[in-house]
Amino acid sequence: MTLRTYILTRIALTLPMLLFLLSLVFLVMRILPGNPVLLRFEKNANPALIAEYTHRLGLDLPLWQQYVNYLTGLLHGNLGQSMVTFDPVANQILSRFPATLELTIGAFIVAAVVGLVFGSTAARRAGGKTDGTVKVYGILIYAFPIFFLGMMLQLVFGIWLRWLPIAGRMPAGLIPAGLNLGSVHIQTGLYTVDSLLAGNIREFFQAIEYLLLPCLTLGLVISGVFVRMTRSNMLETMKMEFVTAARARGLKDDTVVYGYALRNALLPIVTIMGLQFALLLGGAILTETEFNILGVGSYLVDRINFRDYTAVQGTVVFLAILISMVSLLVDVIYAYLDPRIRL
Amino acid sequence: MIEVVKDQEEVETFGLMPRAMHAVASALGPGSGRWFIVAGGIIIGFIVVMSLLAPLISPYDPTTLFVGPDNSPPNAKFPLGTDQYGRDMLSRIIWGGRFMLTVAVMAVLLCLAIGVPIGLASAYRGGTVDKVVSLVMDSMYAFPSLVLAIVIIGVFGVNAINEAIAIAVVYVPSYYRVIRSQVLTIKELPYVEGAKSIGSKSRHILGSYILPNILPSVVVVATINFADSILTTAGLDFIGLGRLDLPDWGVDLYYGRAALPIGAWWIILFSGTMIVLSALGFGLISEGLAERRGRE
Amino acid sequence: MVELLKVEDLTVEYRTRRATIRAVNAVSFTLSKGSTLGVVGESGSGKSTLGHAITRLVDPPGIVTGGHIYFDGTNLLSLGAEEMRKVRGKRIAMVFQDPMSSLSPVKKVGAHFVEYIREHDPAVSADEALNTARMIFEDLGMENSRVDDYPHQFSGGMRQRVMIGLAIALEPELIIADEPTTALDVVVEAQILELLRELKKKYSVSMMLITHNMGVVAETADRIAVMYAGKIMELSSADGLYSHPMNPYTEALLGSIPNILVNDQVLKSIPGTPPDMAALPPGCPFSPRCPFVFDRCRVEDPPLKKVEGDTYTACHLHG
Repeated sequence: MTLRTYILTRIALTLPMLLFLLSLVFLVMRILPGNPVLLRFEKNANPALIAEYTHRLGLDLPLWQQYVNYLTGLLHGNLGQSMVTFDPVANQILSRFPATLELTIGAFIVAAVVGLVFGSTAARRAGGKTDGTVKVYGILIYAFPIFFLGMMLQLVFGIWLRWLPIAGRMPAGLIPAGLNLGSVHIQTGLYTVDSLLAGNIREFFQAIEYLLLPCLTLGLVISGVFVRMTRSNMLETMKMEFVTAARARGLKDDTVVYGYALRNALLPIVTIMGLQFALLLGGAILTETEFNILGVGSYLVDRINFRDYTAVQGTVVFLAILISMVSLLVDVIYAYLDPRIRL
Repeated sequence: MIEVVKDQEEVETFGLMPRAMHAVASALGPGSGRWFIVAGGIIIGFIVVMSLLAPLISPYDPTTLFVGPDNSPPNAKFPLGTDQYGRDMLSRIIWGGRFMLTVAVMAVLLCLAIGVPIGLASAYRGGTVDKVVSLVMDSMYAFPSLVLAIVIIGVFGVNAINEAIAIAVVYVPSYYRVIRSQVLTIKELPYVEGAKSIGSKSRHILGSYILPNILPSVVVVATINFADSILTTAGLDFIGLGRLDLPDWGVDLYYGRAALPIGAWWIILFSGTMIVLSALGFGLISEGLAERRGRE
Repeated sequence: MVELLKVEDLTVEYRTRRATIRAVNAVSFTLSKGSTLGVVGESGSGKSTLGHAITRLVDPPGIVTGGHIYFDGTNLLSLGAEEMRKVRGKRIAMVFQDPMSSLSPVKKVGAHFVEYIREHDPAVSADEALNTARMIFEDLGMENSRVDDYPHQFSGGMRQRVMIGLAIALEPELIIADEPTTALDVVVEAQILELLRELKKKYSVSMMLITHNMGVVAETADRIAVMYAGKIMELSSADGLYSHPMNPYTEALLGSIPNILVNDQVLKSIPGTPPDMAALPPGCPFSPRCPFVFDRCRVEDPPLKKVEGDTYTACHLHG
């Protein structure tokens, strides 16, 4: 199958799945509970107010029309309005997305590194004590609720040792400026990137400082999954003949494990890790809440506590689309890099 | 576990009890993975017993405010300390697992009741139905469980059955996948073909041949399901979507967060550790079972 | 005739939860310098395990449980891991069956050589090593520019040449080839065998050729060991084996080879089924299927004994 065919097939598969998810969200948020406005005010408020809200949010339109508006709105990047402030949800999410992105990327790096190192070491000494320990580590660390690990780390490193900050992304509302190129202002919202763009090294390290605990928390818990993935993948790879052949040439064990087995297994392993993006996002919700990071995850929590159902709907839709796109991208990149398809 | 059937009666009389006992005996017998299963079993057993005996062994009522001074660290009178509202932490720990375990059991039962029949039917039938169901399941599989749970609980309210439903909805695709891949293999095996050729009904084939052979993998998924259910419940508690009126380890952490700046670690540590132990116990059992099956 | 390899009572077992399987059962033979020993047998006869055992590459749950392997006087089984590693590749090289999976797909072919050569002789520079690779390629009839290609860019036969190239790169004393031509078509197989013969002459390397193909050993081997259920059933010169087989199993094997010159023949096979290695019968493992079986065979497992000159057999009939 050529790369092009693969991409097209993959996209063709993603669309119905995405449509199904979006419809499911619509179903859960609009149809099943009835009128979200009613749900919010719980029949206490004055009927005229409810009627006005309902009208302003377009909830008095016939269902099929709401559904069509919903889908067409999405094509224009409209994720709905907040029931509380009537602000467009999309704006809120976009302003908070970079925080989530920074967190998930940082956590991914932690999880991937720990996963690869522990997983390949365990596979190498399969059946032995190291292997057993690593297996237990994988199960144990994943059993930690993310916020519990977060709290313990905050307690130890933030409150008792005072080495690291326990909340937020930067000291006291400081925001890295980004870069000005003539009339164009580049600001990604990723504080690490922006501070480098602005040439402010001090801010860069501050941003890292604040990222350390959250990324470690989320990254370590997720590493439990990655460790097991790496281990099982490496075990399979080490059984392959080119590994035995390399050993037969008298190459050192390190060379064989890392230069032959891991090098070959790396691409599939990292790909599978990339496909676990949903796992990272789910964890990000809890991490952001715990560390007071203003990201999409904490936005969701925030909005649900305010009973802002339309905003919740918009956020869930955003997440569904995001996850589908990331999975698609990872699959395509893998297909592109796989030497069997590439050359 | 391949059974050659000489006549139908032979299979029917092969009761469920002896088979279940055999399964447990072989799970605990010598071989790889045994340590994990035993260790996990002991942990879970301990927690279940503690939860069942709570009314008898708990020193205080876990919801009564100010049985002692607020925010006091562990001492002789209150071995695990008290929280911001003066509630005894030890009592809260003893009672704290009930809600979570109840939800977990309900969730797993729901999953089994829904996921197993759907998986069996869809994979066995094949065709368009199978393709459509697979598509639906794949879409849901990739979605973070917590998000869906938040939505369902947020909209429909906080109670055990809703949480169980939310968790089940997210987990059914996992059961579906595992069952489907197994069924697809088994249904091509000669003894199934043989049964079909002597005119066995589909229901009989599924029930007597396929179901017993997929049960081991279903059990593995179920144990992971238990673990994830506990973590999801804890997560919902932490966000504020928990039963704040009940003693619950996750709720302790919700309140405990406020205690962080004052360094009241006892409000957090014990409850958190119990959650970890619960998830760990099920995780160990699941790993032990998986190892056993893999080493066949 | 200098003895290069002397294997004495070698036993290799696979220990699993279910059963312990003796893949190699008290095997003894010698291999003289400059000669080729062919090891033939069906799948599961233990021949491949034997090959791996000599280089101590038997993977768990397999384990060497007894015997000695004397290579140029040293017992390989008594060497430390690091010492054994130095022997591997430099003094004893292996060629494997599937050239497709014997090379790392993400590494250039030339890089395989460079890494290998420099591992055993760090003084050699990367450039020198690559040049050596190029020369070897020419020797083997391939363009030397191809050292920069990836394995999947080669055809099966050429990949096997690369494998052989790697095997002779450091001019080892012994090459163990485990089913080197099984994955290749007959034409390519003939080329590879020819290549092996030339190399043997050119580098005077000794060879252990493991295969299930009686035809392959006939052309290439000086002596042949026939294995069944982990035992050597017969060990004799190649000519001797084909003209005067001294073991019912050997006879049966030879008998099952179809004769191209005869029309309308009924294909003869060996009655019965290959043994269940987890449940071997007492006595001779071939006894359930042997046309000449008598009572003693079912009770006493015949040891490998000299019959005449250089021929050994494990059979009560002849021994």
